[in-house]
Amino acid sequence: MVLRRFGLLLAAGALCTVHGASWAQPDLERKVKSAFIYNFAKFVSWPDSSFSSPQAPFTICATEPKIIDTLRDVVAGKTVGERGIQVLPAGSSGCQIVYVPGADAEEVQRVLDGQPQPGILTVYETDRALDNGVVRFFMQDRKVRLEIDREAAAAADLSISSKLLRVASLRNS
Amino acid sequence: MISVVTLLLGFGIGSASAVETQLAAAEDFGDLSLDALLEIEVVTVSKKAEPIGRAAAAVDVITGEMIRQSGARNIAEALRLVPGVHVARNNAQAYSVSIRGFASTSSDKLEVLIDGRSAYTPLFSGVFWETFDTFLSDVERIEVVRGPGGTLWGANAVNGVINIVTKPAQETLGVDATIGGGTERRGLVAIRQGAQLGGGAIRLYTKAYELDSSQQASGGEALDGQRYAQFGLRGDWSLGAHHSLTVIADGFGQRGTSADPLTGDEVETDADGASLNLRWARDFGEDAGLSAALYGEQTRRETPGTFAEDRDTIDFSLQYNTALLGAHTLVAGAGYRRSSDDTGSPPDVVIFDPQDRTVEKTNVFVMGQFAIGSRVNLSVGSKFEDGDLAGSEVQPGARLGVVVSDDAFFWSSIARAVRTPNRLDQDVAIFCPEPDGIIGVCAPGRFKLGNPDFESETLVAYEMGWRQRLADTASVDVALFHNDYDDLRSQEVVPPPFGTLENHLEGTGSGGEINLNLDLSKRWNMQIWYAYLDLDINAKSGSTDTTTARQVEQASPRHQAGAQLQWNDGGGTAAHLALRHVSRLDSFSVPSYTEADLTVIRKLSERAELRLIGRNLLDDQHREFGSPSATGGTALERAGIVELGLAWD
Repeated sequence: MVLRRFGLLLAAGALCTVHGASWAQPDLERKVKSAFIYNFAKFVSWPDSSFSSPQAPFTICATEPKIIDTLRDVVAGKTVGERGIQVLPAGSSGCQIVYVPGADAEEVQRVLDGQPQPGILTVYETDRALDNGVVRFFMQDRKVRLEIDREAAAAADLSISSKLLRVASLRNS
Repeated sequence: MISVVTLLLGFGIGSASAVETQLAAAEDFGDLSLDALLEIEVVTVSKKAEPIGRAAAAVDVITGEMIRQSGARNIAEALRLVPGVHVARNNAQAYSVSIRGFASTSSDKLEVLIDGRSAYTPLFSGVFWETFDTFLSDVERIEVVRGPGGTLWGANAVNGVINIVTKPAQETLGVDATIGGGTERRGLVAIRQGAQLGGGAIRLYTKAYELDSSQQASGGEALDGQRYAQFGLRGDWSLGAHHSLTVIADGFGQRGTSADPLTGDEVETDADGASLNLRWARDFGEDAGLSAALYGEQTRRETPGTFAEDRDTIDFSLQYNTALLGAHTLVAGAGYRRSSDDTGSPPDVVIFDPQDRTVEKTNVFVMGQFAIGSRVNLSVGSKFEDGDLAGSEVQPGARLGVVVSDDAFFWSSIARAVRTPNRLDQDVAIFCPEPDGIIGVCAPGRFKLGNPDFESETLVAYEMGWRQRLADTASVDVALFHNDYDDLRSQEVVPPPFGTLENHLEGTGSGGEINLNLDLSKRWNMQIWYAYLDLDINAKSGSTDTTTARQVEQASPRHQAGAQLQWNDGGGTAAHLALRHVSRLDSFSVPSYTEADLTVIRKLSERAELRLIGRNLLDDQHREFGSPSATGGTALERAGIVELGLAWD
């Protein structure tokens, strides 16, 4: 008690989203997601049958013009193994990755269901997981996170490296 | 500088600073690694609901932006924003900061870190909050874990961990300045300048303020004002693609008012310190990373007539993390710390025997994080410590996280943690001067209370928690705990007059916290929390200490609640209202109280904003902590601050 008397001891997820909306930086989010997509190209193996020829470029397809522009910036000058990379509007043939942005689950589900299987890595970002989608982007603490559906990946005959699995949430594994 | 949250989540690769350095340096996003991408904060285009947090611990994070909005003006005040943290002001300068009990201005059961540098003194294992500060605008986030963190963070992380992370220099370019003043915080100036330098960036800052004295409980001005100045720098550089270097240096000076313990006369206290913190990190591709940190710190404190402490500390640590097969990860590390002190001598009343002492401590730890299927994550590990005062200690722990659904997450944990002995436990003594001693207390002489055989206080903690999204705009976070303590410090009554310190208390702490977040709209946000604590501390048989157990129990509130409401008009005006309720502390005759803080920030132009900060608005004055005297247990007055904030590139 004496210690207190002498004052030795004297001596001795929250609101995280609060400011989000006001500083919207969609450019950054698009860039980060585009860079993720380029990383998918590096960490996923596609069956040879998904390319029309050994020289065919790696093809990323997306449904939205702004995303296509951003993807083109991000992959400019890059290769996947020996292959160059091209970015095309969704609906083109020969896509290895199809990115379907948008929050409307029914709409996105329609696009996902419409992909010819196998050999296509589908990427989407609805709030809830959907069938036939391989990678889902979601937001956590204002950062982009990944969810990978291993059943859908297997159905698409894709082999995903542990490096990518390690940083993702897994579904149907 | 790895984040508590990162470790808990299992993304244990790469330090945040390395990642951010990479980001700032990378024009080309295609060159960024997966780990770097995961660390980038982007803002959602549409305001969609985010999945709930998946850290297997009772953890809360406050961001620099939240601190800014709240108008907090030092680290201790910022911690009032965190659910379950008991921040109580003992006088104008000094705070007790505690989690889940054991409140004291020398509270010894928390690990407190700033950019990886531990802030507690081995003198009593607590933090001098009155001299622990930083340039608040440059804080990126404060992570607070309620519950033990000894497995990773080591001795002292018994009841919680407070981890303060400042922004990399690349994110603080340009000038940020504040000038202001108010009724209690009389003058305040703070300025930071950041600039690019040599492929990286550096910032310099300084801040200074003056605190008015508070009111003695019995009336009249207390002897507790202070003037404080701090300055520092931080530089971040990436060295090639895989290396990064961070250099942080800080210095502070404090002149305060206190009282001589024998005569009650006013004295001037004095504290100065400087630290240098070097951190290096490298990554080995996507799979692994290594970081090393070295820091040194010198402090000098003197409260004339009471005590003095000069201290030199040097600390070195290494941490390695790597991915294992599948989605598993491994984190391992080692550290060494050497701390030398020289304490005051008579006529100071509180002295240490021996007067100077050097204490060394080494540790190693290893923790594995295992994904079991897609929904379950298990972390198991232990820290092993060996120190001059403590001998060897093992602090194992296991944490389990279960993703119940997209909207629900369950976690549970069991861990052992220790609070290792400090100088106070083993060496403290009281000097009673010739010729009369201290009348009514002691005859002349030196009386040693410290006990060289004092051992570590121990805790085994059982915890579990649940996070649930209730709607797109609402989530709730519940944590329950049962803490089993043994060998807590007692103050035996023999030999007279002061007795001796022993490990003769034991007990339990049980309770929980519930935290509700409401994201009402783009303009309104609200957080409401409640914390319950039932401390039951008892003397073991054979102990002669009949008072400390009750004192400890009644120094922490049984009930605490807080509410924060935040509003912005979307056009440059923002307001933040914080209400807090704390139940009574019978140890100090502090009745329960409710207080409100209100901060309004109005943007005047691109470069300027006006801030109006109101503190403790509901009462003319109120007490929060401490036995009433001229220097403690004082009454804090309602206070207002007006500030002009300026920022330009």
